[in-house]
Amino acid sequence: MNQVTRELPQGGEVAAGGAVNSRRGPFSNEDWWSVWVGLLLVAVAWLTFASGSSIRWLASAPAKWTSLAQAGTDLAAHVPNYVALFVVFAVIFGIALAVLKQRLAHFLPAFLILFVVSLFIFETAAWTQASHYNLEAPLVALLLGLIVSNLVRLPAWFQAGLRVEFFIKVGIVLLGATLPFTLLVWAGPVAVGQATVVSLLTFFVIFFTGRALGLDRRFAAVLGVGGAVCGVSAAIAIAGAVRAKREQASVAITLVVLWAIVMIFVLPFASHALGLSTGVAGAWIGTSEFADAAGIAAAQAYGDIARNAGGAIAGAPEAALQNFTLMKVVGRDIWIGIWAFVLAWVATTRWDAFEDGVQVKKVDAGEIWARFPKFVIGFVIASALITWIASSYSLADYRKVVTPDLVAPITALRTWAFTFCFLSIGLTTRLGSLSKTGWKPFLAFTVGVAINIVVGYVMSVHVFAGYWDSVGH
Amino acid sequence: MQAPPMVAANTLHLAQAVVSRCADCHHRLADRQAIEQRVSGLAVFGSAYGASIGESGLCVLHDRLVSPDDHCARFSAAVPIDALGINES
Repeated sequence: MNQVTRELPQGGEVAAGGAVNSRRGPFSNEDWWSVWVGLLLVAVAWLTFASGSSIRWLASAPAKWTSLAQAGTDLAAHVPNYVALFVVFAVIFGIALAVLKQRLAHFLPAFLILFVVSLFIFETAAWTQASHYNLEAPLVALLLGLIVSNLVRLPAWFQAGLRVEFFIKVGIVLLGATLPFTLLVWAGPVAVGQATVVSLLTFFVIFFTGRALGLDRRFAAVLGVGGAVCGVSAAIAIAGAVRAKREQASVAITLVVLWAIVMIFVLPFASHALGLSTGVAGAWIGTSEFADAAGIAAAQAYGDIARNAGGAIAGAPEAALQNFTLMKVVGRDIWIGIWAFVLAWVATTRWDAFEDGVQVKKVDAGEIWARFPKFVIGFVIASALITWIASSYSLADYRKVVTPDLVAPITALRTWAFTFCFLSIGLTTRLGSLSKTGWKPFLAFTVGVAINIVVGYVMSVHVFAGYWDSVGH
Repeated sequence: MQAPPMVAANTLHLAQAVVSRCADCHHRLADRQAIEQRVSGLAVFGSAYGASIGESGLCVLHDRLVSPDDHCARFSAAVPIDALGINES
């Protein structure tokens, strides 16, 4: 036996024979599973609708209430619905996570707690006076989670239930089913144009500020794309593409997390103070938030504020979420593979070799597809499917039949998925466990944040205001 | 049947080149849960189970993200060499 023979596998995804299990298959990552889960729910809703029924019974949510007695009565009457809904979510999420080799014995009890607390949050937000106290569901979920996770040390097994990215991606696929495909085609190019200008500007500002402060090129690139494209996903994608140090990825992610959480609260209230319509605010949040989950929390919160503002905020409440998604998912997220490919090429051909002797393989275009956010495919398919179904109805029938029996239940399921996500964000954000960033990365990133917000505001509110308003109506 | 010496040498050379990839290295951590634990904040707004991480893993020796086809002089095989079909002699 030689030295090599004595080395044994170490808990990694190493298969017999030395082959590494691919993460590229259609059942190998959360992105693909969010597509299957989201489209399965949409398909079941559609088939039930086509057979003359609806999944309304399953997709329950608390009704508005004015007294605790009323809330209690409504809750008791719907216990079977909530039990059924929990079982459906637990089974389909459980299958996905089991295939991804996560521990069901940990996930299921954790998810049960998450579901019950989410129901409590829904009940709170259904109080008729909730909006008076700014108790919008996303903000309550986030704050509650932050308080609990930073005051109480949660057991390790509970983390298995807090799949922020999985929940948000499932919710985005379901959101596609409520967004007309024609809107996607019409608004997509503008979203891409606006997002490209702001993304490039933000990236170069962070990158060159970081370089001026003496940061390593790879570190500056990870920080730049983390601020410019899609937050944590972008940071880990680019860290992998340029072979950044683990600490550099951790610091960039920490800065994204901190600023994203700040923006969840700042952007909706700033939009309200500035009197922005829901459509314009959604576009601004989509341009200037750093993570999908954070942006959806902010956009949904603003939609809820508008819904309860008695007409004081222009635009349909749903427009904040729709325009956010157009801007963030279509305008920014889908380019992550291109960013990774280009920066990997620059890093291998233009930047210094590593001092520690790591030799990097030649960059190949497969990187673009490998890191592409696949959930966008589910989002587009869901949008096209529902638009096709709706096309055979008159507008009156669509509002009378399709909306209550098909679209509204899918919207309710989406809201559940988003609430799981918002609560999970708070519960996973333990400020004490985030990396210490140092003032240089903090300053470089913060300059980018300021530019991103100002330019995003100017483009959304002045350059394309009419456009985003018309989408909102 | 015994392979001719030249063929055996070439096979060994080729096999070693394949083996020395980070994909086959003892120091490369590819377990997604372990990556989430080691990269602070990754699970808050992101995931090691998503598509964006691609095939990247964490080299625990260099404390750096690496791809399966990367390599370095400090390679150490993660699986018994017999399983890779290499002639040790």
